[in-house]
Amino acid sequence: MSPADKAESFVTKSFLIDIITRDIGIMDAILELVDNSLDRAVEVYKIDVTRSLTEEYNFTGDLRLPQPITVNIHVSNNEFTIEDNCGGITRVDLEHEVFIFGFPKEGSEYTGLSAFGIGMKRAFFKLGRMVELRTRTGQDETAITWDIEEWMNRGDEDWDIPFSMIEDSRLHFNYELPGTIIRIGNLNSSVKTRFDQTEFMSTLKNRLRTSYALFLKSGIKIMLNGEELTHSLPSFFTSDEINYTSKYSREKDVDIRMIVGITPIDDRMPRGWYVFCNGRMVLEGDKTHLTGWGTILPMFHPKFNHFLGFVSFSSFNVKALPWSSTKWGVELDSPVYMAALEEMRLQAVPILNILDRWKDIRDDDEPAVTALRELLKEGQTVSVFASARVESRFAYKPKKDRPDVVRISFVKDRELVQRVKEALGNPRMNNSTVGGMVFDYYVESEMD
Amino acid sequence: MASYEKIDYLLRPSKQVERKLFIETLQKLAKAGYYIHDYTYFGLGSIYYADFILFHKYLHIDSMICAEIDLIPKRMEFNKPYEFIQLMMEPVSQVIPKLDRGKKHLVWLDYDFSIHEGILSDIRSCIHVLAPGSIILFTVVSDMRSLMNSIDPPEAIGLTEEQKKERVAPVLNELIGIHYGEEIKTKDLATNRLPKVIAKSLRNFINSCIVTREGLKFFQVFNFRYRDNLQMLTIGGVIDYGDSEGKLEQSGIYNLGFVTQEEEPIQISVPPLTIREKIWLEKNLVQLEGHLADNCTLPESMPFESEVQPIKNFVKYYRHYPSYYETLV
Repeated sequence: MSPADKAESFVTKSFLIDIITRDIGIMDAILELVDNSLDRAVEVYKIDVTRSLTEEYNFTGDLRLPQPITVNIHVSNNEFTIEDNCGGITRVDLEHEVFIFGFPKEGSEYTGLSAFGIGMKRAFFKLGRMVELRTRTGQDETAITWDIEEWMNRGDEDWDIPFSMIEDSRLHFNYELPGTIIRIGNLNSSVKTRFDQTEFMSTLKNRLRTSYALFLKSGIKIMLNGEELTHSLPSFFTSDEINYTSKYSREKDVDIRMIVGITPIDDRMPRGWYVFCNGRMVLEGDKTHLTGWGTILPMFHPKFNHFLGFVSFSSFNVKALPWSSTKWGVELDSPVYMAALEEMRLQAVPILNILDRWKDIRDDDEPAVTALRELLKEGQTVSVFASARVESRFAYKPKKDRPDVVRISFVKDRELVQRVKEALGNPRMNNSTVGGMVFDYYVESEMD
Repeated sequence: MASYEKIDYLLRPSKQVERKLFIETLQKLAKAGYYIHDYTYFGLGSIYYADFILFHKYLHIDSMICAEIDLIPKRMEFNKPYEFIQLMMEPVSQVIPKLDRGKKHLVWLDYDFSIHEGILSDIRSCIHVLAPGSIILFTVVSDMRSLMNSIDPPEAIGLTEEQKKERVAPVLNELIGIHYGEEIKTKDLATNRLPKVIAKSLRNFINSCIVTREGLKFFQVFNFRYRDNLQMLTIGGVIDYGDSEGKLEQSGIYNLGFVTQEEEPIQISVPPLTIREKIWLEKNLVQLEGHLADNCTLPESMPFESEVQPIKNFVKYYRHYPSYYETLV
C-alpha cells in the first residue's frame, strides 16, 4: 500500500451528539423546540412580538386568522410531543436545510428565533432516540421517522435521514392551519427521571410563562399537558416619590428597550435582570456576572431584592442579538451587549444606591428594610408592558417628612450596662433605651 | 463637616492655580475646534460656585449643571451666581444618566474625599454617556491620612495608626489593583508616590471603560498633584474619536509645560504667601528663575524662609497665582 499524502479528518456522529448536547439542559431543549415552532409563525405571519411592549398588539385579530396560533406540548414519562399550527416546514427546506448541522438562515426579514442552525437537532438528541415528525404547509406534506440508534449504527459515512410514507405516519394533525407535529420516544433515562418530577413540570410551566410572555401577550397560545398558559412577568412600582427608567435605544441594527426600577411591596421574589432577544427570554431574574453583578455592579445582595431590570433586544439580524447558542444566557463579548450592559449599569446604579441606603435599617427583630416598606406603601403597580409604552426617567423625591434614620447596635459588658442603667435611675430599663440615652447624651454634650 | 465649611474655596491658592491652568488649556483647545463656549459645564459647585464663575467669565460657558447632595437646597439656590445654572439636589450618580448625550460637556468631578467605589462608578458612567469632544476632569484626595480614615468600619475598629497604615495597601489593591497593573505596596503610598499610583490606576480605568464606546479614545491632558491642605490628584483629558491626535496637537496644548501625557503627575502646588512675599517674588522672577535652573537651593538674597519646590512652582505659575484682599461689601 502506498503511503497516504494526507491526514484523515472528519467528525463522528457519536462525538457530535456528545458535544452538542453537553451544554444544554433538558428544559432548554424543550424550549428550543418551542422556539422552532414560534420561529415559523413569526416568519409566516410576520409577527413582531416586541410590539406588544409598546402597543396593544394582538396579531390573531389583526390577521383575521380562523384560530389562534398554538403550540401544544405534551409531556409524559414515555414520550414528548409538540404540535403547532405555525405554518409547517416545506419539503424543500426539509430536504436541504432543516437536518443539516449548522445551517443558520442568512439575511432573514423577520425577528426570528432560529439563530444557530443547531437547536432542533440538539433537542432531539437530548430528549430521546426515536423522532417522528409530520409537517404540512399550504403546498406540501412530509413525514420523517428518525431512529437515531439505527442512524448511528449506519456509521459515519451515511448521514442522511430518509423521508417516510405519509400514510404510515402515526401522527395526526389536530389544527386547521398548517403546522408540524413532533413526537420523541425512547426517552433518555435522565429525561424520564426529570419528567417524573412534579418540581420539573412546575418549573417548566413557569419557564414557558415567562420565556414566552411577549408571545403570549401578542396572542400566541401555548398549552402544556392540556393547560393553556398565561404570561407572567414581574411588575414595576411607581409613586410620587420614586419612578422607574424606561428608555429606547438602538445599537448597530438592534433595537433595545430597557426598563429599570423597583418591584412592589408584595413581590417577595428576589428579582434582578430579565433579558429578552426577539421576544424570547434568555435570562430570568439574573443576579450573576452576566448582567454585571460583582463586576461593574456590586455583588448581588438581599438588600437589592426589589431591584428589577428588563431588557429587550430585537432585530431582523438574529446573529447580532446577544443570545448564547443555548438561548439561555448571553454572549458577553457581543459588542451590542457590551454597550447595553454599560447602559444597564448606568441606569441601575442610582436605584442600587437608594436600596443600599436602606440596608442599615435591617434588623432581626424588626421587619426588614422598614424605610423601603414605608416608601412602597403608597403607589401603583405597573406591568412591564405599560411601563415600556412611555419613556420615563428614574426619579427619587422622598417626601420631606419621611424619616431618614439608621439603626445602631453594639455589644457591651452586661455588668457595665447594668451600672449605667442604675446611674440613669432605672435598673429595669431595657437595653435599647440605654443605648438611645447614651447616644443622646453624646449629642447633647459634644456636638455643636 | 462638609469641605465648604472648612475653608473658602477661593482661598486655596493651589486649587485656584489649577482652575486657571484648566482655563488656559481650554482656551487653546477652543481655537482648535473644541468650542468650549458651547459646552455644558457639569460640576460640584458647593456654596461658592468658584469654578462656575471662572468658567463662565473666562470660557464664556453659559450652560451649567451643578449637583449637590448636602441638604442645603435654599443655601445653594441663594448663592447661585447665575440664573442659567441648573441646580440638581441629587447624587452625581443620579444626574449623569440625565445628561444630554447629544451635547458636549466639560465635566469636573472635584471630590473632597479619597478614591472609592462610588467615584469609580461615576467615572464609568461619565465615560459611557459623554458625547465625543467632551472634556473630563476628576479630582480625588490623594493623601495617606485620608485613605486611612476611609477604611470602612468594622474593619477599622480597634486598629492602631500603624495597623491602619498597613491596611491601606490591601484596601487599595482590592479597589484599583487590577487597574494599576501590579501589586500596590505600602512603600508606594509615600506622599510623593501615591499620586502616581492613583493617576496611573485612574487613567487605565478610564481607558478600559472607553472600549465600549466604539471609535472613541481618551486623550490625557491633565495630570496634576497639589496640596493646599490635603494632597489632591487630578486626572483629565478629552474623549474623542481615535483620529483626534492631530487636532489636539495643532491646538498647541502639548507645548504648555503643565500638560502631560505621562503617568507621573505634575506638581503644581504653590505656597501660601503674604502680599509682601508675593510682590517680592514677582519683582525678582528673572533672577530667581536663573538661579533655580542651576541650583537646588534658594538664593541667599531670599528675604524669607521657604521650601524650594513651592517657590519653583510659583515661578512657573505666578500668572495664575490668586491675589486676595479683604473686601468690605
